[in-house]
Amino acid sequence: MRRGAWAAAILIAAALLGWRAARRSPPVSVPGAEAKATLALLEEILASRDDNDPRLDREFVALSSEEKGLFRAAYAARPRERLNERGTIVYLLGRNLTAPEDWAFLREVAAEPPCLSLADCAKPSADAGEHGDAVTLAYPSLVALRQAHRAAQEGAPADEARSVLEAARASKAPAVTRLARALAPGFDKKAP
Amino acid sequence: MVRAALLLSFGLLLAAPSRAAAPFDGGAGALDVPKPDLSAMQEAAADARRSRADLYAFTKEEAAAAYKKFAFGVRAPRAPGFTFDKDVPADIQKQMLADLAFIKGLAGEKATALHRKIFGAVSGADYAKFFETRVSAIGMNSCGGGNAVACVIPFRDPSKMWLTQNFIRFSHPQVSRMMVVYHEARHTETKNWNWGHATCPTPFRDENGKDMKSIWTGASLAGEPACDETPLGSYGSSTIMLKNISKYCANCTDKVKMDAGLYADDQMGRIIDADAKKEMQDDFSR
Repeated sequence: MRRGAWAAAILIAAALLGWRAARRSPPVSVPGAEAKATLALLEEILASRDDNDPRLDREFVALSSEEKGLFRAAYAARPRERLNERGTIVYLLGRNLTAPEDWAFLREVAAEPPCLSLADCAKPSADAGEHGDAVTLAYPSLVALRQAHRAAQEGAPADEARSVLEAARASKAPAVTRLARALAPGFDKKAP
Repeated sequence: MVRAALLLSFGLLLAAPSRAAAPFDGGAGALDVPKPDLSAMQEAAADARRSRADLYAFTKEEAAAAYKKFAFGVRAPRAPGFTFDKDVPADIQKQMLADLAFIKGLAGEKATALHRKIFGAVSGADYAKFFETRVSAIGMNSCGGGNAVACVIPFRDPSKMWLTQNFIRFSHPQVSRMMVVYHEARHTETKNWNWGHATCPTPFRDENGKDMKSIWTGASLAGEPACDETPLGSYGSSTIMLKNISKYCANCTDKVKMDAGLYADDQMGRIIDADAKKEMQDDFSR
């Protein structure tokens, strides 16, 4: 009887502590003000369509895991046809490769199925277009590969960088496999 | 495709001022042109030859005809600058001006010899001068439809550049829009026979032995007028511009420099003459 009362008291106390802890710190999924501000800045730059905004170089360095999570969510939420915007997000995340999930994201982007047309990635276009469209259609994947290559040159974990290269090599987009072939030697040696 | 080719030939044969239209570098499909004379079209069809794979191009004879037609314009220099047609939507004007402002703002530490020969320094002032002394007006056209962004229609007006709705509809990196614009600007040069494209060799393979194909139609580029044999043509000059931006731009973001490199390497694949390619590679490595 006394043992049962003790167990009940411990359970009640644990529940009380858990409830108080939950009230004190918000759930992990709710972003903090700083992370939200960083995301808002990114969205502002993307909306401006100004790729030469110096804040792209100045800001977004040493992104927190929370900020990177928000950027990945922003990438996933965008229509695939927003190729430059998605590529810009990949570019920024590719400068902040500190955790396994950062590399996993680059691998996923490098391995994305080809975008079949600028108007609708799911539907091929029989119309002709501009020279350079092969690059634009594969832009996010090309950026992922470029950033992995750069990281490899700067001494990032070789196995992580090479995993992005392997994902790119298996791509169905000719522009991606072509760049993978061109950059492959650079994954084995650091820049002088 | 055949219909468009007939329209083009018709335009050339009649050399009708301001009415006939030929997409210079646009995509396949219907053009914004008046109804043609069918008999003239059929007569012209025998000699008509247009790319079935990627972009339209013109023949040496057509360039000569454009030279003859616009000889007066060639001899009489005009004041630099351009105007927008009234039907160019405000958002397209805004984007074009923003892109040109981006180019005008560039500054470089140095430039390669080929770049100096074509554009001058890696400098906004020189890029602006290049554009504004070649393009006098900007209008709206389908440029053959499809995914085209810009074109020049030399028989209609060799110094006019046409934009499509795709200029703002699609999500291109900024430097790639300017690559297309400067490629087309080079094609306005009537005095240089508009820098006509060369026929891609058969077979036409990349450095890895893979057939070069149109990303859109999947058709081989072999035998099509979608290549250049000189560093000075439209593919060559835009490659040189991009490569110099990638290497020497002092106030570009790292992203712009990376993008310029990606597109330059892609465009280099259209240079088919070994000597021209070597000249460019040597130029870039100096």
